[in-house]
Amino acid sequence: MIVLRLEVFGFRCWRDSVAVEFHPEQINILHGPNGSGKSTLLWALARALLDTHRAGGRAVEELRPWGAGLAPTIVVEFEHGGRRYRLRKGFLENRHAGLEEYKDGRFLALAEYEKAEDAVREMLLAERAPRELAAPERWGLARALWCPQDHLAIDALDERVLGAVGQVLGQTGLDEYASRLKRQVEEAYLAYWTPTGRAKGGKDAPKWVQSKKILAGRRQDLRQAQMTLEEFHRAQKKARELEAARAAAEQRLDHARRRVEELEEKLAAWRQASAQAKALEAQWQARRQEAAGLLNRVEQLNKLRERLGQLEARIREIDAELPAKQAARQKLETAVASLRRELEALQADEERLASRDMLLTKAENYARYRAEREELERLLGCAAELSNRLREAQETLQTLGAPDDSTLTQIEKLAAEQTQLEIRLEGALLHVELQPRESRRVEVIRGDPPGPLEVAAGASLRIRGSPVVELDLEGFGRLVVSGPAEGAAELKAKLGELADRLASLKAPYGAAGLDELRRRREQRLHLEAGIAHTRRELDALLAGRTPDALGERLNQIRVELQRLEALYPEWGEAPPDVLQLRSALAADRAALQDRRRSLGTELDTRQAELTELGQDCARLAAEREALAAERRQAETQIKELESNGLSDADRADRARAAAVEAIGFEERYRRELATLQALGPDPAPDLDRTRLDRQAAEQEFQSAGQDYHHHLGVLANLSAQAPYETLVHLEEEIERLSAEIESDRRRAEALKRLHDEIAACDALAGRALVEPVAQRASKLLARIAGDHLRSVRLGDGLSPESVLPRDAGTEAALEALSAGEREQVHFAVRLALAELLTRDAGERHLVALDDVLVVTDDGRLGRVLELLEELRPYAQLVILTCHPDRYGSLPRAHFIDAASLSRPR
Amino acid sequence: MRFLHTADWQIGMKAAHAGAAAQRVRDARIDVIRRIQALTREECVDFVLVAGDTFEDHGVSSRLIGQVGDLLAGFDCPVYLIPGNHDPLVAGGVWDRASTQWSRRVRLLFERRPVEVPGGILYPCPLYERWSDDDPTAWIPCEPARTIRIGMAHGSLALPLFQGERHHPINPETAERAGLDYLALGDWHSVQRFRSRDGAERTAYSGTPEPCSFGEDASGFVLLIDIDAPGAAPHIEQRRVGRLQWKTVREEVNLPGQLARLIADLRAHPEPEGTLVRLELGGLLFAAESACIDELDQLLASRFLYGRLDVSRLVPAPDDDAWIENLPAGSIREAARRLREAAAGDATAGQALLELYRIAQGDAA
Repeated sequence: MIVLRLEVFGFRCWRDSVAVEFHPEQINILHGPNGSGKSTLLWALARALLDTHRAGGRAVEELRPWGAGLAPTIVVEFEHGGRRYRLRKGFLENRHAGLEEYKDGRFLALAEYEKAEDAVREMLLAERAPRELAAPERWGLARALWCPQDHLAIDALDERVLGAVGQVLGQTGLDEYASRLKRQVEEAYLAYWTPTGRAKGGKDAPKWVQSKKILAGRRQDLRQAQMTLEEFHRAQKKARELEAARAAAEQRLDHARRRVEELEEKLAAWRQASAQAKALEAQWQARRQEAAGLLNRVEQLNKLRERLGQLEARIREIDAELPAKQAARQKLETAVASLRRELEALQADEERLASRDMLLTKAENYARYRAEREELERLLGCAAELSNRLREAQETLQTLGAPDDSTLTQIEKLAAEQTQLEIRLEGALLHVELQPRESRRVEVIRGDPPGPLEVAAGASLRIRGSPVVELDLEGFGRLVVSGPAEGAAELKAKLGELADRLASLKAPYGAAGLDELRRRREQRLHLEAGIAHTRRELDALLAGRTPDALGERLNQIRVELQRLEALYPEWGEAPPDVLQLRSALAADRAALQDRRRSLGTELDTRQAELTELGQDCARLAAEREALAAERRQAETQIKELESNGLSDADRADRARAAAVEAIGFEERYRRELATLQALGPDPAPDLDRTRLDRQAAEQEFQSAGQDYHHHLGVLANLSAQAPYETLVHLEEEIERLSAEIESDRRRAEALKRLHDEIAACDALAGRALVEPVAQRASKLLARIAGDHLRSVRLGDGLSPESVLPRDAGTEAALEALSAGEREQVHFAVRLALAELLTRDAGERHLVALDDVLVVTDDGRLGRVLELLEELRPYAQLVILTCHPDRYGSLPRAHFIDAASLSRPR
Repeated sequence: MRFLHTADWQIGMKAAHAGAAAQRVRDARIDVIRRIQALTREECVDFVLVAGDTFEDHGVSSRLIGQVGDLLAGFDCPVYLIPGNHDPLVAGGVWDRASTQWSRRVRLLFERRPVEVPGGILYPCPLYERWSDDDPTAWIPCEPARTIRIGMAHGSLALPLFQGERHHPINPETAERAGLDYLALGDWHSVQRFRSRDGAERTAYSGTPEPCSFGEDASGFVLLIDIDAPGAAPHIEQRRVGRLQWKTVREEVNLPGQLARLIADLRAHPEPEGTLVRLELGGLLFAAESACIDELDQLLASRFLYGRLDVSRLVPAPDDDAWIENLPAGSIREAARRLREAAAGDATAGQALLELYRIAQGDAA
């Protein structure tokens, strides 16, 4: 398709109508300053050819000129496939679309609205966007051939464009038939699925999806119906149970009622029989008792009389035995009392022994105190002596004036140094010895000793000095002896200093010499040893105590001793013999204890005998008393029994007669009793219980009846809902819907499968296009930029992804290139596609380039222009630019000044 | 004595397996009562025995109960019914409503005690629960045969033939034990007749008068019974009253043209409006015959009372690729080839291929 004329009205900055004529053969350079509306014209072309007139929304609203309520209108005249067409497109309030074909000198209407738009899109292999402005992905060939501003880079091309490219390259391509079939497959597919492969939902959902919602609702209803039916069945079951319960209650009630009646009859009969039996029994018992009473009386009399005899015999025995036992008891009591008295006497002896024990204790204490007093006195004496010794030794030590080891060592050291210094000094001094033959007078001017000296003949005079010894010798003259100046003075100084130090150290010790100091030191050591020894003795003697404590203890003991001696004055003269006292006391105590044991044993024996004897006497006395009472009682009973005035013989007769009558009554009673027993136990309690049961059964029956009838009402309500029929209808509907859904779903899956297979095959085909297009783009790039970038690598959608530079072993991403080279790579790919789709395909199409190659240098731009010129015969080129001068070298260029078109607002 | 023996009317039964024809299937069960009525009038029967399961469930509507009652009231002769296991005599069930709504001419036998019927004595065995291990005929006494004695019961004869879930097991020798001239049974939906030791068929299931589903081949009948005298062998005549046909057609397609012949056969089927068809196709589908599938689908939907077409076992014919080569070269043809290869083991691929074929054929048209 090539565009011949474009007319725009009310489209963005083109408020007024503007028309642009494009040259079909030459390169169209549409130029103008920024904001002159160049790009707007290209967009107007795209909107007219690619969008639906029904598009709405904000994006379409923005097509209006600013601040105006105009409806955009575009008219495009174009050629395609050797025919000339005119498309009129209006948006918003002026929405319409009309396609005309130029025939016989005029434009004739060809199609309107969607048909017109579909026909135009088909020429460009474009896709319809339902209600919005078509995005570039839907532009078909225009996506490859038209390059709006800032859209030089191509995104992945759709399969129709790829198919067209593939067709050109001789690969499996997309002809009209294939395109139609694919469209139909796509349409069938889109009836069920979204373009992204998800099941369609919402109002566009396919039937099976919508039916699923209905099915879900029906299943919910079915569950409810099932629950209702189950409730109905449960209600039926419960009704059966309630009916059975009611029937059972009725049965129990009937049973209870019958039982009550039976028991009432039985009770009447039983009572009658019972009364009769009681009367007979009373008669029988009376007669029997009378007979028994009489016989019993006779028997009792006999027994009593016999018993009376026995009692009297026994009483007599006791009367014979008891006095002897009482006398023996008396004797034993006397013996026991005697033993007790003896034991009490022993108690006094024990008290006396206790006081002797106390005396012994005191004697022991007295002896102990005395010993301790002696010991303490001894200790204190020794301690005092040792303390004196210690004090004397310490005083001697103090007055000794002996240096300690350290001081002595220092003194020795200094003395040694002093000696050394003296020797050195002596060595450093000049020594002059005079031995005059005659007595002379020498004056020592310098030297030691100084002054005039008389020297006898033959005597020796030594003079020392340093550094000069000067002598005036009488009769001789002056003698000067000089030596080394240094040394002696120093040594003297040192010696002086040393002497001072030594004097300082020795000062505390007086004028004692070193040997004396040594001797004192020895003495000191000896004294110190003695002092230490004495201290140890003292410590051992005191054993941790102090003399004051010992003294205090001694005082306490003396007090105690005084107290005891006050109690026992004789002890002061003769202390008690503790051992003797102790042994005597022990012996007496042992004897006393033996005696006590002996008396105790005898007392226990006697006591036991006395107790036993006492019990015997008591027993005999009590027995006699009881026997006497019994005798009195027997006599009384005999008197009573004989009081009825009958003799024994009369009584016996009377008893026999009563016995016979009793037997008669007894027989009658037994018969009546058998009759009563045949009737069973007293049915009155049973009757009471049964009446209560009847009452309970009545209540139960009434309650069961109420429950049953109430539940029948519930059941009737449920059955009125016809739950089974409702369930049936729902199941059937669900079955039908399920079948429909399954059928539709299978079809949806089949269409998806078909769609996906075709898409997969397209992808494979797409990948086969990449290499040829990449090679062509690489050649074009080499012509533009040189061969240092060597080759371009394209993705499956033919968009460039990287380059393989000649000097590099690996690919370089486009981002690694300069902006200019990146621009040129994209341009090369676009140009390659343009060549394929126009020159190689044999179909002239519009190739539009809006402000591309803005950062390409003039040199490379020149090569680009050459390529454009080469393409010009095969494609209609429209270049939008702000720099028309850059294209001035094109030999066949048609310049269109956008500014000269009607003034944009 | 001449009477009609029927059972298992199953009024109100569900028929989800009949799809959209479910209601018509249910209605047919009402219609058959009219035909039974006509038959009784035509054959001058003395009475009718309905041996249980008159209703499918106690939850049927009162309208339906009334409708059946009205139809039964229109019979010229007495109709004796007993509750079956689907409609046992329970409180709040259909019989409570039937008792109050129905005409007294319809004899609802709820007790196990003898009832005088024209020409003899009937020993009804109504059921009181859905499941039981008790023989409902056990109460029938053996009495001297002063008159014709017949029994009516509902349950499973204790025979190996009646496998599966048994309920209310009936002694197969009940007729002999109790000295019955005939025992009319319900529960089994197909006609079954059993001989006693004396060689006479004295025990029978009448089956359901209108088949309920596919596979019930011996259904759709009632039995006309003639007994001349006590102890005589009953004469049993089986009469069709059912109108619906449940037809299952299984066809293995191996050659082109089979489907067209099948279509012709179905078109020629008599009374399609009363026929429910389940058509299962297996074998090969030739591309040129894919339109036959649609035609079959339409034929089943439009002419028959109900039709279900199952083509899941049809696979595209392996050597039928000519149409694929006529597809445009490129991804479409390649996709068709890939689907063709996968179709043998992948039903979705097979159906996808058919869709492509339809689209291609539609475009060609």
